[in-house]
Amino acid sequence: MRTCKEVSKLVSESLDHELSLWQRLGLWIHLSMCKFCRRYRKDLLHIHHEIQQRALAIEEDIINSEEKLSDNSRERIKSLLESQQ
Amino acid sequence: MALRDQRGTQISSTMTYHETMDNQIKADENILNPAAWVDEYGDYLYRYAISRLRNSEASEEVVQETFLAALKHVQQYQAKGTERAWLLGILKRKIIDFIRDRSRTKSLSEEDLKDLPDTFFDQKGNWQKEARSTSFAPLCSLERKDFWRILQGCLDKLPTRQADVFVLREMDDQSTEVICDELEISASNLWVLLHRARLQLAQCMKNCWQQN
Ligand SMILES: [Zn+2]
Repeated sequence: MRTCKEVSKLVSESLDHELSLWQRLGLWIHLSMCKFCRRYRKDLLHIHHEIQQRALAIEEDIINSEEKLSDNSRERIKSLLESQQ
Repeated sequence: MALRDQRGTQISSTMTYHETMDNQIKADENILNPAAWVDEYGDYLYRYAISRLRNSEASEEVVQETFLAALKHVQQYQAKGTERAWLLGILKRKIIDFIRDRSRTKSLSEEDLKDLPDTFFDQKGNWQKEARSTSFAPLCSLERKDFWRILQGCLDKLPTRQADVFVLREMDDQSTEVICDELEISASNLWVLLHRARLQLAQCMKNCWQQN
């Protein structure tokens, strides 16, 4: 039986590459018996899903953001560009 | 007087050719108004950059690099898409370059690969009580801007390299092959970095959400 520590890593890896049959088996046996690792997996999938969903609206978020290029660097970039022309 | 176009090539004085080039130059001048670029797209590019790099100095640097590169390659801009999309494409490339450089200056540190702190697991490899996910946190109920704010805040607490690989993988949806290639790390090291990033982020985001 794999430990929760090992399984948490497999849960993460399953988002990045295909697990071997042996790894999948160990993962699913553990998950079927351990609610903490099941919840952890759900959390990761959830964060992953939310990022994907919300990234679709990135345009809107960027437009509504209040971050600004500082006046200093704005002027610096402008004069750099002018000197390059 | 020898006229030179943007590429620095001498323009022939024959009228017909000159006329053709004249139109070309006019078209170029429309694009070549860097001051207007900075005013029009500066904030947009900066906001995108800071969402990926989480650091204002770094973001200003890549925005500057983007405009300089754009000026240099302005002839490649074919008005196929919008100017903004073209600049964003250059910016994305500059962000990856920046992350690669900042990753190069530091070899994989102990911080990245040493054993996880025992805040997460006990000696036997079981979840520590405080680290156990108690219930499914409805992060989805968060407003989008709160979600990003919490995510950014938590990314900020991670070691830089872990945050960087997470951003490339989860926010930019880059393949693991591309990330390994760009950052010159092995796949198994990347998996370790992502695992650590996710473990810490999941916990941090839930804590923040509960306090929200
Ligand atoms: Zn477990």
